[in-house]
Parts: sequence; C-alpha cells; structure tokens
Amino acid sequence: MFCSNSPRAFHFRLLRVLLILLACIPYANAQETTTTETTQETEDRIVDGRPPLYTFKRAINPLTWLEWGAKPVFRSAENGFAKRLMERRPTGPDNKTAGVRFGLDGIGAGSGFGPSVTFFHKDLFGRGVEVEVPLVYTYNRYELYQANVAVPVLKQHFFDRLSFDVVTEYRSRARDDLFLIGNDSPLGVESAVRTVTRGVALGFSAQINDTWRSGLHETYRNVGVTEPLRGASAQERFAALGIPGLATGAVLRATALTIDHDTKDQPRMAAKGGVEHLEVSLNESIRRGDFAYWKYHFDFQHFFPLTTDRRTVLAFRGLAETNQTKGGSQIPWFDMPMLGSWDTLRGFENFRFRDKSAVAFSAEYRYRIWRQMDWGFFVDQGQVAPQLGDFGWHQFHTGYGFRVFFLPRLTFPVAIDIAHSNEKWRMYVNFNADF
Amino acid sequence: MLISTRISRIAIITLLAAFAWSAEVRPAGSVLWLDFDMKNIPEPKERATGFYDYFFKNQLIEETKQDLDVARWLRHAAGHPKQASNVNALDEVPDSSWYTNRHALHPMTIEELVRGPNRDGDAPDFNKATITKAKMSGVTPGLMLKDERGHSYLIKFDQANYPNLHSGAEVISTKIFYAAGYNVPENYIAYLHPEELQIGEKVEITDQTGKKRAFTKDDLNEMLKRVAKMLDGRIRVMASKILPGKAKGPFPQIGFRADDPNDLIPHENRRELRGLRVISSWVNHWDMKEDQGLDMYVEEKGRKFLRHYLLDFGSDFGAGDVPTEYWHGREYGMDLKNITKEIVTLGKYQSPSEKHGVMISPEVGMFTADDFDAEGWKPTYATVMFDNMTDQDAFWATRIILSFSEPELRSIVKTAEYSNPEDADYIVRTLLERRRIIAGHWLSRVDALASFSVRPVTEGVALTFRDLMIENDLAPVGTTSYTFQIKGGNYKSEKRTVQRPEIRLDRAALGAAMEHSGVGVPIQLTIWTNRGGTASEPMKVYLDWPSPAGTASIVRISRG
Repeated sequence: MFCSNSPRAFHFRLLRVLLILLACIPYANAQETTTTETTQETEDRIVDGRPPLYTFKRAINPLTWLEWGAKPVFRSAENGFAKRLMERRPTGPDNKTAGVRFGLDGIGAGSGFGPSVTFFHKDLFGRGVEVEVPLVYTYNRYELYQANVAVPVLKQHFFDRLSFDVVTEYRSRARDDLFLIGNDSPLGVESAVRTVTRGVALGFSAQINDTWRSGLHETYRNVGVTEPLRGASAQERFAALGIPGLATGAVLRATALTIDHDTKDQPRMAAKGGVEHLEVSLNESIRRGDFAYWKYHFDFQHFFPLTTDRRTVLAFRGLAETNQTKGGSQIPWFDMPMLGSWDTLRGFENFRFRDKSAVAFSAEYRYRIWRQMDWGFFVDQGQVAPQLGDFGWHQFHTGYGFRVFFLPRLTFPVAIDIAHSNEKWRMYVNFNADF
Repeated sequence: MLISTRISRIAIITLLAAFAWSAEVRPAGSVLWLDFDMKNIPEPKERATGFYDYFFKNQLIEETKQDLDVARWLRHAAGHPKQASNVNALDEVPDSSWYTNRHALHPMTIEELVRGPNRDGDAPDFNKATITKAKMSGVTPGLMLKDERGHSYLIKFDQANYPNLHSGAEVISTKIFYAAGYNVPENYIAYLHPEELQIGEKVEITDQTGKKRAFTKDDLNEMLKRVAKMLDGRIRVMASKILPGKAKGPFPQIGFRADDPNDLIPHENRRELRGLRVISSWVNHWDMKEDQGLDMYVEEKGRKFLRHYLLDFGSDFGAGDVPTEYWHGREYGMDLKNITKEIVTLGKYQSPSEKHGVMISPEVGMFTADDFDAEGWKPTYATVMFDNMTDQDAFWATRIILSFSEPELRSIVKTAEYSNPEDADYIVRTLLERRRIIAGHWLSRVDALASFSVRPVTEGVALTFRDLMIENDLAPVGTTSYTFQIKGGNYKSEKRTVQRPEIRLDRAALGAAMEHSGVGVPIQLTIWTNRGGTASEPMKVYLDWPSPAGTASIVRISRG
C-alpha cells in the first residue's frame, strides 16, 4: 500500500483531481450511446469485394462438374421434351375401359428392362371381352409380343366368371446363360444360348371367387434354339454332351391345369396375405425330339406384418418343381426348373443351376425406412436334382443380401437387390417387383 | 519511480483527452448500418431454375460438398465455424437490398406491425375486378386479378374443406417476416363476389390434353367448386400484390448472382439468410426451396438494382392447401441420416415421416409446440445457408423473435381473420411456446446479453445491457451475476462481479487501459455471465474512451 506522504500519493491525488475535473466536463453535452444508432448514410459496403478465389474454388470441385453436367437433363425434365413426354402419359389407365399403357418392364431373369407398351380393352364389343396386347423390348434385346383375349362365357353362376382364353405370343430371349445340368455344375463352363418361342394357348379360366382362380389350357409351343446375340454359344460348346433339346429345340403340346390362390393385400409391396400357385401339366413333343413329361410346379409367397401399421413385414417365398418323364422320353433343357435369378436364388449367375427338379426358399425381413423407400434383408436357399429323392440337406446353395425399394408409387416399386453367395456379388434392378 | 512516471503519463493523456472531449461532440463511432448494395446495375437476365435442378444441386451436390469439406469440419471441431460476412462491428446486420432492420432494433407500433408490408391500406376491392390470368391445373387453382385502380394481384384460394387455413397462415407469416426485416410481398385477406368478376380478353388456360383455349365463365365456376365459400356466397382469398419491378428469378441459396455486381457476399454467408432458419423454425416455414425467393429489378431513387424477396408463406404453421404433414419441419424431404438410422436399427427407429400429427382444427392445421425441437427443426429442403448458421447467427435471430410482445403477436394473428377466436388464440399460444423453446435453446449457446448502451456516471462510465435469459424467465435472477474485466494492451484490471446488468467502469481503470492500448485503440471489456455457478464464454465489448460523443461509445461487440 502507498503511504499518504509519499511522492506516489501526490501523484494519485493529482490524478484524482484531474479525473474529477474530467468527469465534470462532459456533463453539459453528454448523451447515452447505444448499439442501435443508425445515423450513417453512405455508399460504403461491408466487404470490399467478392471473396478471393471463391468462384474458382467452386469451379474446380468435381462435384460442380457433375452439377453442370446434370443441369441440362434436369432442365429438360422440368421444361423440355421429357416433361412434355411425361405430361402426355395417360393417368389412371385402370379406370379406363380402353387405352394404351406405357411403362418400363423386363421379360424374366437376365432380360434387363426396357419400354413396354400395352394396348388394352376391357369391354370389347360391349360384351365384356378383354383384350390385352403387351409389347416389350429391353436394352438386352429381349422381346415379347403377346396378345391375350378373354371372352366371358359364364358370369355369376358357379363361378364369378368363366372365360375362354386365347393367348398368342412371340418371345425372343436373346442371350440366356447356360451351365451344365446339375446341382454341381461348374461356374467356368458358362456359355449362352438364344431361344425364340412362338406359342398359342387356348382354354378356360375360372375366377371362382375373390381369391381362388383356376385354369385349364391347351398350349402349342415352337421353341427354337439358336446362337446367342453375343458370347460363347452353348450349342457349340456343349454339342458333345447331348443336352436334350439344345441342338434341336422342340415343338411341344401341353395340357396344363393351374390353381391360384391370392390373398395379398395389394398386388405390389404386399404386407399381408400371400399367393399360391399350383400347376400340373402334361407336355409332349410334336416334332423335333422325343419329349414327354409331367410337370408338377408349386410356388408361394407369404407376408406377415409385424406391426399394426404394416411397416415391418416378414416375407417368405418358395418353389418346388419336379418333371417326371413319361415312357422313357426326355425333358428339354429349357423346360427344366432353374435357380439363380432374382426370383429364385440371388447371388448367383442367372440360370446358374438347372435340372429336372428344384426347390428354393427365401426369407426376408422388410421394413419402411422412408415415406417412399423400404429396406430388406434376405436369405435365399435352393438346390436342383434329377429326382426328388436326390435332394439333400447339405446340398443347398445360399445367397443373402439386402434390398431397397423405391416407391415412386405403391403400384410401381423399383427394387434394387444386392446379393452375395460363395460365388459372387450380384445386383438386381427390378421394376414392378411383386415380392 | 516507474509507477510515478506511469501515473504522470496517465494524467497527461487524461488531460489531453479531456480537452479533445470538450472541444467537439460527435455521434457514436463509425459502425456501418447500411451496406449499400443498391448501386445502379445493368438489367440482369431472368434466372431460370427448376425443382429437379435445384434438388440435385442443393440437396445432393452442395450437401455432399459440405460433408467432404475437411476445413469446415476442422473449424467446427475447433469451435470456430466461419462467421457471417455481413455483420457490422456491433454484430448486427446492416440494412441492404436483402434486409431492413425493423422491429428488433426500431420497435414498430402495433399499427405498423398490423399493416406490415401493405401499402395500399385496406384490403383491395375486387368488385368488378378483371381476371387477367388463370391456372386450372395443379392442386391449387389460381387467378390473377386487376382491380379498378389497375393494381394486379395473385389470388390464392383456401380449399373447401379447410377454410382460412392457407390464407391465414400466409398473412400472419408475411407480417412476421416483414417485421423481422425481410422483403416480402403485400399480402391481403380479401373477398370476392365470383359473379362480379369479369374475364379479360386473351385469358387462356391449358386443358387436360395440354391444349390452350380461352378461359370461360364455366371454367371459373368449375375452379371455384373446389374452394372454400362463405355463407353469403363470397369467397375469401389471399391476394398477393404483384411486386414492383421486373422479376428476375429466385436468388441462389449458394454463391451469388454473377450478373449482379452489387452481390458481393456469398448467400450462404449472409447472416439474415442463415438466421432465417431460427425464424422459420418459429413459424414452421419449412418450404424454403429456391422458388420461395425472388429477385426483383427495381428502380428506387433513380437507381436500378435487385431487391431480394421471400415469398409464399401459405404452408407455414400447420397450414398449406391441406394441413401440413407431420414430418414437415422435423426432417428433410430426403433425410439420409434418418434413413440410415432406420436401416441400422432394423426399423425400430421411426422417423417423423412415418408418424402422423393431430390436426388442431381446419383453420390451424397441425401447428404444435409439443415436440418442437429448436435445434432439430429442419426445412423440407436442406440448404447450405441454414447449415452454416452459427450460434451467433441464431442469437441474432432469436433476439428478433423475442422482440414481439404478446399483444403485438395477438394483433398480427388477428389480421388472419379466423372464424374461430380459439384458433387465433391457439396460434398465439403456440407461437409463444415455440419461442420460449427457441430462446431457451439458442440463448444458452452464447452469452445472452444484448442492447448495450453506455452513459456517463460520476465515477466514469456505466455500461448497461439486457440479459435476455432473465427477461424471458429462462434463468433465475438470484443466481445470475456478471464478471467483468477491463483490458488494454497488456493491462488487465482485476475481475469484478456485479449482480445487475449494469457495469460501472471507473476512470482510473479506463485510463490505465487506454494508456496501455494507446490512443485511438478501443478498450476491451470482457464479460462472463455466471449462471448457477457456471461461467459463460466471454463476450467482449470494445469501448472508445474517452469518446468525442461526450462519453464512451461502443465500437465493437464480439460474441463467442
């Protein structure tokens, strides 16, 4: 502390006097100043210019290039050709009696997808005749041109509806993989083949009630087998193995009885109910080969909601098929059940396993992750065998993975499946997936 | 000897300062309150934009850029995110073509708040108005009307099942955003007699087949079948007066307009756009895509430049053409984080998009404060300018929404002319509750002191301020105190603590600080707010002392 008579104390006294004097001076004209005074009106800017290199740094970012590249596409979608195209698309075709449906579709495993155009009429001649003509052409150059006619025969009797059906089709599968027959066929023997099928079917189908349906049809099929549009030809590679029908194709006649039971709550993205499909057919060759066999096929899908709002679902599907030769004849390779596709056994090449009999089973846990997106984890198992007695618990092939559904509309789910097996990873893109 | 020399030096400087002080009195320091971005510019082209384009750029590209910006991550990790570029020395946003300081800094009267941006006085009179444009397609039909004065208005209707829903929200929000300082259109509640409307020449519509044809009275009747009508046959509408100037498209939410030489600050770094997130969260203004902004090429005081507007508030609160779905304001339209959570938890986690809200009433929609999360609020379309918001930006915006008193809010809400007084009351109560939640969150992130002012007192200078936490009952008075310290050069006064929001600075300490910092260099006053035993981050107030204004003046404020 300072002493009162020290020079320091003098200085402090002097300072105190000055400060008092000082304090008195401003009182005459002092005013409160606040942080909100806005007295200045100049043309000053708060910054001198744009931040240095700001535009340059944005321009050299590769993501900006992506944005620039995509801009014309989006502009077109919004204002240009694409928008006009979309606006022309007819809406609500299901409510129309006749018209044209445009869509995106595939023709089974390995076909890829492409535009589909379907002409339809639900009440031709005012007599309830239903006509549907779907035309599909995929980027893998698979083709399907079909005409379906259903003429009502009976209504509101024993059946809700009994109709006489006529189906004709031209189907070209440009390049289907073909491995050897059997559950242990090696992966390295992959080759490909093209099949062209021209067929006609006549028969009756009966809508028994809301859930049951049955049909009895006589079909004629001319299956041509040729070289694939690309890749190694299975006809050349397996020429010496004598695979039934590979060299010759076949002309077949079949009588088929089908029974369907459908309790799904909705055709796509079902959360409850299921479908079962049973088919028994007798197939016999007319020309090109000695084929005669009974085909027994059963497949199902079942969906179990785990929550009341059905946002979490357990889904199962399975198939069992066996073909029994008649009188020592053969079964053509293209009519044998196969595994290794989106709807049988994922994680393997398409058509990876093929034989006279097959079983497959899938289990999936599916749940909603967004308003327009579902996610699922799945496991698939399956095996093929020459006869039912040849199946074994340790011969199953297993694929597993996850899938995401995009739901631009609930009736138009787009599924992307990523599957893995002991052989490879595979990705499947599916429009209109029904499982 | 050393001490006496120092003291002498202080005395001399003090004397000199006293002479200077008494010689001239000037206003407080040169703080910029007008960022003059209204210079004459050549007419820009209309900026085209589209939803897909916008979505791809803003939601995917720009958000990914942010996620991959390592420098940004480091700045955030170090607690020093990039601050807004357009704040003045007092941490405020100066006026500009984007923003005008209104209610928060210059309190508006209730009459001014109720009038909002509307310059035409009462609602427009649409008796014998002429339809100049019509839109039949889309969810909401629309008309363009020209009244007898020649003013054009865009007319929006309420849907038949939800009378007053859309129009009420639009009118209230417009006035709130206007008072907050933004440029908004003049939006009026008005009434139509459909039979008195005249259809102008050359009014065309596009029919369902995509062909254009003349708009007829039958079309008008068909259009009006879907809209809400009053018992006397009139139709209540929201009439938005066409903005002055030429429309030049929406302003980009990132970067600047290359064709606007006045546009120097990247928009994601503008405080008024960053802080808009807090104000939007208050009124649930979730629809913040680029189309909700508009640049107008205006002529004012002989200068032609772009003025920047916010548009379309009809989906605010819980409104819209139909009541807003629950998830709006709670997650992004495409919320990858929530989607990931759902995937990882195997669906156990339910994102807001899977939940359903409760409709309060047809006039109110789904506006609630029950599970409102001030920080978790999200616009439907992610935007970098909101992502960039710092605690300081949020504090600035929170002060704005706190500037509305309850009577003022009630007066604004009254202009929506709800048929049920309980609905108006509900909106006010919900706004107050949401504001309390916002204030509780954002004020606690910074030192919630504001409205600093200095005045001379006998012993020197008194610095007073408002403690917004205490004013809003978010912190107890008894356990709050303020510790302060004066600094100048290498001088530091002792820390002292006061209980009230007033700090008295004696001349000795000020003089000592000034001696060490040098003439013309502001004195730094550091303040820590102690609440319940916890001290806040320091905030710094820089004082020009002795100021020519007759006392000290505040020349700079630094938060955080």
